[in-house]
Amino acid sequence: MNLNDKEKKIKSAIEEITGIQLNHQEPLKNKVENNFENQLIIKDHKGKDLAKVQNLNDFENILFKVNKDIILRYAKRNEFSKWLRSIGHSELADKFRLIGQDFDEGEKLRKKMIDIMEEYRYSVNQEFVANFQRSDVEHYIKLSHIGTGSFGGKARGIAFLAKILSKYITDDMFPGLRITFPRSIVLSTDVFDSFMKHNDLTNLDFSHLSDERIASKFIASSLPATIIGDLRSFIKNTKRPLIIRSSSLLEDSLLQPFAGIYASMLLPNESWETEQRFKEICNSVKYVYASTYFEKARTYIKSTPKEITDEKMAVLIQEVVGNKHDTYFYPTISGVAKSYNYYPSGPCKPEDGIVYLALGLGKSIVDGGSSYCFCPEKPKVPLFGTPKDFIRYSQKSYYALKLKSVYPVFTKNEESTLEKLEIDIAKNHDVLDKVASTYLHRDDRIYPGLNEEGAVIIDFGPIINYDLIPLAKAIKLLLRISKLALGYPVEIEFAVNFNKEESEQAELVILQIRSMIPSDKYHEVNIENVDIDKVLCYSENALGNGVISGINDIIYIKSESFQMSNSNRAVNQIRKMNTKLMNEGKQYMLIGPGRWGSADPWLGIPVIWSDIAGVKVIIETPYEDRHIDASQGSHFFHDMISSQIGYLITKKYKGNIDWNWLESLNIIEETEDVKHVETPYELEVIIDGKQGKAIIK
Amino acid sequence: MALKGFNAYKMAQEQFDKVADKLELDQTTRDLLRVPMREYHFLIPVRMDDGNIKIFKGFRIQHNDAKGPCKGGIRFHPQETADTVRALAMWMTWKCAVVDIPLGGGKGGVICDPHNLSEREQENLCRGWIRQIARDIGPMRDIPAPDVMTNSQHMLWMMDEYQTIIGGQYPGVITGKPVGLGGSLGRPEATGYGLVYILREALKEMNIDIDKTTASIEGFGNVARYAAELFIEYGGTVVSISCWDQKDSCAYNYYKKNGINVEELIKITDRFGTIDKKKAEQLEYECHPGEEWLEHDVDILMPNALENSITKDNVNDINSKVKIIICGANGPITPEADDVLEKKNVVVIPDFLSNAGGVVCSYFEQVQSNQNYYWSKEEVLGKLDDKMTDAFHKVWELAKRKKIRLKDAAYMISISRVVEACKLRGWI
Repeated sequence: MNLNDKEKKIKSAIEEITGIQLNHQEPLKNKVENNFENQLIIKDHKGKDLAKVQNLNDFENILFKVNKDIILRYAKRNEFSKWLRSIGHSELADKFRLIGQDFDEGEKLRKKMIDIMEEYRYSVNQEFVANFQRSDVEHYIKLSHIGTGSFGGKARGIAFLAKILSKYITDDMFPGLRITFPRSIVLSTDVFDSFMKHNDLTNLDFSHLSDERIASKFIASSLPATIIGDLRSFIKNTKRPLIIRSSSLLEDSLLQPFAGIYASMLLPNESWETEQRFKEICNSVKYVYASTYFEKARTYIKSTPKEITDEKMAVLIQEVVGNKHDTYFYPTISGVAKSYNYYPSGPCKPEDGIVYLALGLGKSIVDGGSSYCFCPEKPKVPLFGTPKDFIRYSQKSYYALKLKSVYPVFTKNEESTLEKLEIDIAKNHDVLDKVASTYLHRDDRIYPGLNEEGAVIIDFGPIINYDLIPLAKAIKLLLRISKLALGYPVEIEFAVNFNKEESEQAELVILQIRSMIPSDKYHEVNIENVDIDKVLCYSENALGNGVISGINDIIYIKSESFQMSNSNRAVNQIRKMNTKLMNEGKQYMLIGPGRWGSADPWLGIPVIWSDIAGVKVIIETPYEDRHIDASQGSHFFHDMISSQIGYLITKKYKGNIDWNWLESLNIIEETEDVKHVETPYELEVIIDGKQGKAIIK
Repeated sequence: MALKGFNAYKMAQEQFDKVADKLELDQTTRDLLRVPMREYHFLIPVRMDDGNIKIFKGFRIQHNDAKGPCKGGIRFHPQETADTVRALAMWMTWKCAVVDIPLGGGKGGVICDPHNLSEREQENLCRGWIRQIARDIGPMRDIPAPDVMTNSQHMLWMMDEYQTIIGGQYPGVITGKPVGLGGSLGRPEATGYGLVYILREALKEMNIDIDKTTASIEGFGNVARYAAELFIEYGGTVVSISCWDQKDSCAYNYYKKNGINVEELIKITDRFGTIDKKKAEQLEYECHPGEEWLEHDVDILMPNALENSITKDNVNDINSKVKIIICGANGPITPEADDVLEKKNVVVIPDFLSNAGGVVCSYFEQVQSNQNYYWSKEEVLGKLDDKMTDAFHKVWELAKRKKIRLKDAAYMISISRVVEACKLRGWI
């Protein structure tokens, strides 16, 4: 789709969703996008035409689809660079020049070329990031950078967002709701390089140091002199709570999204003394740098084709969205919206997407806890069965930032500054009337808003069902426009804040935007003709697509003796086996009850991604009577999808794994709750993504 | 080296007079500020290693302490004169005032050549100096520091002697101490970094991107090295540095078009500051006569070595591309050369502003020592950046408003601050 088509589609999406008529001015003519004279024709070994490349989109497509050896051949002849120059992209041409000489292996070359294109795609937005000026106390300079390197995944996402918002969204589009993003500063990757070099940290042997030792070494080092002045000036003028996040090069990259792998720090930033706040922010930045080398990150990177030396860390510092309530700080609503829904239910299609909402900070969602969800195309359709069903699963507690926290040398991410509060406290803070409904037992009905008696349910009724603010529409528009502009489905993390002054507009603040793996890049698979009784396992609820083979090892939870109260204990055992198998280079299958990756150890095994990074297929065996869909907003889910792991859910009496067969297999290792066994022959797992069905044979 | 016939004190007084005219100061004020308030001249008998006693002449000159205790270094030099020290003490007053730290100006020294003294003799000399002056210096009165041919070891001996005499631990009596024994983190870098902070701000005001500029530096001592390092980190390119060659007794200028590498040059520099010529040529540096450092085709010149480096005789050799000259050394540009540069529209950042990073860091060291609580490097450098940036902007704004040279603006600001302090105290 060329630029003009994109613009037209975006504009018509805006008109459809908001009802506002836009001027159909002629879009600016950029570099010539479709150039028939300067097209590159890709031929195979026999000279047959395989593809015509006329613009950058075609170019990206062939990078994915064409055989790697053919790409290698063209690269070695410098054909790509020449063609790029001929269509006016001289910067890109320079990047691709001589690339054929650096690589002799087609697959590595292909990955490098994809990286360069991605960098380019996002970098077009870097002009939106202004150079940080100390005199900019004005809050209209929302996005600035310190340093001259690249910005990393998260920051690029924000820059992209800034561009979209300024280009297409106006303040009056959604009455009562203003769409914006938080004031952010990026410390670019060259600051990280300089830090590592000046403090002699590149030669440390990280594999033999614990995370705490790494953190303390980093914190004892000094940030580069080039940024200290600017950082100090920034903190002097900023008294709001801040979140310091990683924004690394490998993160949020299309093929290897590293969600939630690095540390982020939430700073109350309350002290009256500038020195104290300056010290805190310096230490936080250094802690985020240190997390590049923590065990979690190192394990994760091992499971991808990247190396730890490929990683460069930029840091994104953002103001936290929210209001102060007593000694706590939190936004009214946090949310995650996705363009693509892996578990569509009812009248909603996968392409309709899904939105998760929670009261308070977004940790409730990204950790896979309980939250409310709706489909942006049809927001009023309940996705949870009857309202009474929902009561069981609705939020009972939420996260807030403790403003008066005194935290020592860092031991863990975020957790020392966050507190989990009960819903009653939110009642006292006067935030519930917009997000809750009340269930009256005598009527067996749910009423929006708060009532004196009855149970409080966080179901965002006033907003979703009664349109207190046009949130659903706004999110729908954002998802649609982002997807069109970027070309891929997206995932957006946001917060909604109601100001204490009733007269002011509510704010929808976009915190992060990531691309999701496009599902149409999968292959077709068909399991219609398979005899269910003859296979080892059959699932009617499977996630993923394709054929996974070469699995000989299975790790499973011993079903007879296992109690959910021991799920935390099981995690340690699984982690050890995972490390062993990863070191041996073997992929394996994981079988166990309940929802894998659940934050609640009573609902499933609470593993995090790096605990099971070597897994290829996960099978969820029946636990409670009712299966709960995995929270798609969680980091665990995100990593699972992007690593293309198959996830199969089996029912008790239909196609369940044959336990007798499992017990008969050769035992490699056995611990209290977990067994590692080996199959005599290779297993093959076939998943039909379109139907959501899978078999193992 | 000071030129024959050149009297630093006279020059300092002339500079003061000119600014006093602009500020329309009355005669009483001038009388107070033109000359130092207190001078101590004393003799130091030192027992030498051969058993004989040698008498050394030492002094401490306190120019003005209206803003706070005096601050200034101690020089060991065979050709030291009282007049030079008076001028230096006066410049210290203005330096402390322009960066707005609560200190006055002082300077001291001993007429000697430490190259000819053994370590033990130097220790005796240092302790002897303190014995003579202990009553008149101190954390609340006058705080010495290292200077030409004195170093942190000398400072430690002096601190130790002072504490023995006074009978208490006063690490704040002297600065320039090593880290761990009362010194501040960030001190080695402070002067060089401070210079680049000011350069950075000046370039911003001139709308020039620092990462597109080139510089030529005279000198390769502490100030030059750290200035080059930070400048390169900001993206600039240093194409040449110069140094004194002890063997050949002359200065050489080492040039590399694509930019020097500070680390590799440090590796081939000996402890007297001489760069190994042969090794430099092997590393592809061109060796030129020292004076040519200012002829290169660059945007920025940094004289970081000695006074009177740019005079009316060589000012016209400066390349027309040069837009800004920032002085790391004390007094590197003569007044006549200053006039020529003004006509050429070259921005000249005065020495006592741009090299004030060192004294600001000494001030931080003094504060930390007095509290007996030592800050992190980031805190020191962050505060340094703040102070230097602030000082620069005030000078720049005044210069723009009154359409005067930066040097004059800087002097006007510092002298008026001292005058204000004297007035408020009731001295004038």
